[in-house]
Amino acid sequence: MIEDIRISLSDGESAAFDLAIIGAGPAGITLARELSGRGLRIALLEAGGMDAPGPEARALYDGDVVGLPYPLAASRQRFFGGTSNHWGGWCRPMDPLDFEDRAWMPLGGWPLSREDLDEFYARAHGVLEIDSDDYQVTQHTEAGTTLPADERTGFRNSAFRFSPPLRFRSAFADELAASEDVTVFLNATVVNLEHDSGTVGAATVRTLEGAEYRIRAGRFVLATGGLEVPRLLLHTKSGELPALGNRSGFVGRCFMEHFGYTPGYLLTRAGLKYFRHADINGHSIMPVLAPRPELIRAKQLNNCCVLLTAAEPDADWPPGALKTPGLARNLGPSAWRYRVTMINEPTPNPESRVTLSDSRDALGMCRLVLDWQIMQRDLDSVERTVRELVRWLGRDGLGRVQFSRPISPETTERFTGGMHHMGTARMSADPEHGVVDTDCKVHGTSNLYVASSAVFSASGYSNPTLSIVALSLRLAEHLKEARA
Amino acid sequence: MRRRRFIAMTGGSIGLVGAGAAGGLWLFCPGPSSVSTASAQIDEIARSMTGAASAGRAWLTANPGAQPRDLILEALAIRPGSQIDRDALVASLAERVELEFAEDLIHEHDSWILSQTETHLAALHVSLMGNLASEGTEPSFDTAPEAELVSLERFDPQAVVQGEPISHPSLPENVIWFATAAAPPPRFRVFMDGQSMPINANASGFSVQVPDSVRYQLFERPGEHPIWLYDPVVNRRQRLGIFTIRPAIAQTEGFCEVEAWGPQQTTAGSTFNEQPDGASAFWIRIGCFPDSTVVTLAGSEIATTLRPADRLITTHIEDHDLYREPGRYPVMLVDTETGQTQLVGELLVTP
Repeated sequence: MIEDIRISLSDGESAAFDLAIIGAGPAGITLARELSGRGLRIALLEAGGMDAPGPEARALYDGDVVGLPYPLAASRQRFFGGTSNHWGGWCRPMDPLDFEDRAWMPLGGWPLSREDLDEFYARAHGVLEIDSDDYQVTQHTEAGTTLPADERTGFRNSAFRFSPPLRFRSAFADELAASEDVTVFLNATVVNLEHDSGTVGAATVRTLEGAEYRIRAGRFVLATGGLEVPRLLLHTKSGELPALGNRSGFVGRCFMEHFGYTPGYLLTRAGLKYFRHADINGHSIMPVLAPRPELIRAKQLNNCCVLLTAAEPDADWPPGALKTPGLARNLGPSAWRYRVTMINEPTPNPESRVTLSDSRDALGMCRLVLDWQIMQRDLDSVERTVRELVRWLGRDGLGRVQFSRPISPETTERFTGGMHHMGTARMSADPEHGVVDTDCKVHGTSNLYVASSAVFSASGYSNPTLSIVALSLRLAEHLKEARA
Repeated sequence: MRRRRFIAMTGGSIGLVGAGAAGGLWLFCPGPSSVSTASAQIDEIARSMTGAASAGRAWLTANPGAQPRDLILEALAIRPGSQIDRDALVASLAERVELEFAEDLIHEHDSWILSQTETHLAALHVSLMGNLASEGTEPSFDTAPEAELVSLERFDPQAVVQGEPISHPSLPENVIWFATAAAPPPRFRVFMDGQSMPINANASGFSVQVPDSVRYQLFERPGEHPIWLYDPVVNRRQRLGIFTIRPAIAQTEGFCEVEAWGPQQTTAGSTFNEQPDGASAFWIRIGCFPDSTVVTLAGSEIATTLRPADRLITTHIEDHDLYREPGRYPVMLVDTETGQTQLVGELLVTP
């Protein structure tokens, strides 16, 4: 059932459940659906309503941005369905490499391997209605539309697939409304967690009308995004005791974003399709170029991908120049200039972080302070990847690179992200280096879990929703087993 | 292991010996028609270059007195006077360029990362061709060939009166809307009077916000102005239609003669010239009228839209009780500032 908490409960009233899921976005809704029908009484707490919030509710997301510019409010969706209400549907599992420890990236990788997630990735494709889970580009695209990036080149063709995009609100509202064991509470903002000796007893819910409720449960899952998870955890600090999960001091740290960068242009074969289109089976695909794991390890790079968009020719080195005999013998019949866009993996950086402000919102919660930072080594990696592209295309007689926008203070100030909030409650087997364990349980607690991109230990370059859903399916399995 | 070629010169002839993928030696024996001196062959390749002037000129300026041909032949390990087959030379040139990229023997020209030898080749091109060196060309709207870029269904508005904002009831001020069969790429631009404007594309077409600078430029030349769509990537343009700048009508204290109007007849209480919202509507074609004109029906003011650019006045009548009874109802133009009136005609209402 779906209820407005302001109507279904009286001010000051408590309600008890077996499981309370805080946040009705892709993670929370996936969890609730997976655990429905298992004899659990589940509360799914959504801070907003069924529709986009008005100005007063939107203002609850206001905060301070002290690092790189960031759309703090616009990047979140405070209503049922969460960010599935505005996502673009880009999907791709993270690479096995993204999970590994990489000596040149501090803090290590995930305490999981890609294999640990494979079965959940497979199921997540079904949840998100992605019409293909095959990321082998050359088998599914027309010949000549991608560059020949074999093992020798250091690069490979990879791809994104696409969800319609699935809007969780329209897809699952009816199902949850009809559910007998899941109660969705709308307009139920959790402002604190009551806890004792590492066990959470209740979530305090407050409304803009001033009402307050307590949701008691045996277990709690924070299924908000990478900004609200640390915000709520940091709120649990009590006196000299650290906030839940924060003995390591990592709550809110390592805020990561997939930062985009346009370093310049490629001059290479005409007719390439490194953009979203229908593959030979009619399924949506967007091929991308990416450095191979071997090259990433050898050159100590960050993972990244390259998208190409057709661009106008440049008079200083036009396509015709490359047709000179002997300059690019594998170019093919004609050359074209493409704008290069890179989507880059950030290094988990403890100084890139979310903290709480002294000022409070209308519900009495401390406002967020976001200090998004990108490390110099991340910028160096972008430049070195471009240099590797130069080397590959030149060495293989395929083309040239115009590095027209080298990294500079001016360009870094205008970095944009993908509105992917990751890493602020990072997973680590060692409580000293993270916030949640491999079961997504908050270190030092007995019954508090996180289902969110906040747990990402590293992020690769893949958009996070598919991984969020996969991790939620995995957490659901754990919660089922734990109950058994 | 990358394959390497070695060029062996013996007197005035050449044998090309290489190690193939299987490691065996092979001998290349070119036909006499393709053989000439290495210098001549390199010169011919350099002369054939397209768009190399910028890179070549920049290199020559930065390296006064340097001899690009010598540098190329030295890099290829070929004596200038030796005889060589062109295909073999091209293959050696390709391997050299590829090797230079592998070993970072590169040269940067205006942010293009080029091999040293290809830059020397561009410099040789400029040395040989002088003022006839091949310049690169950037796409230009002025010289772009015509092609169909979009399937245009219509565009609105199509005219404006000199000095007035471009207006259409369903659009923001100074916006022109183009309905197309499919969404155009956002890189397209609209050109009017030589001025380029970005487009805002969506699934059903695109719009342009005409800035004041363009509008004022258009106002200087009343008449017909072609509107073009231009794709800088493929360097093609499409004529979308004509946008008309109507001369400003001198401020008038009166009305011109009504040229036409309608509908002139209806049945009692029923809708005529039915609009999407169920309202009735008159249209009145007239060349000039004061800005403060309204239309009245049997003395009652009705909602009036003035469209001087189109020499048109339109109305909107939601209250059908205004002509509930059969009879003849006068339709008038009234200048609300001066009180001046002009009869448009009589609406005949039949039982």
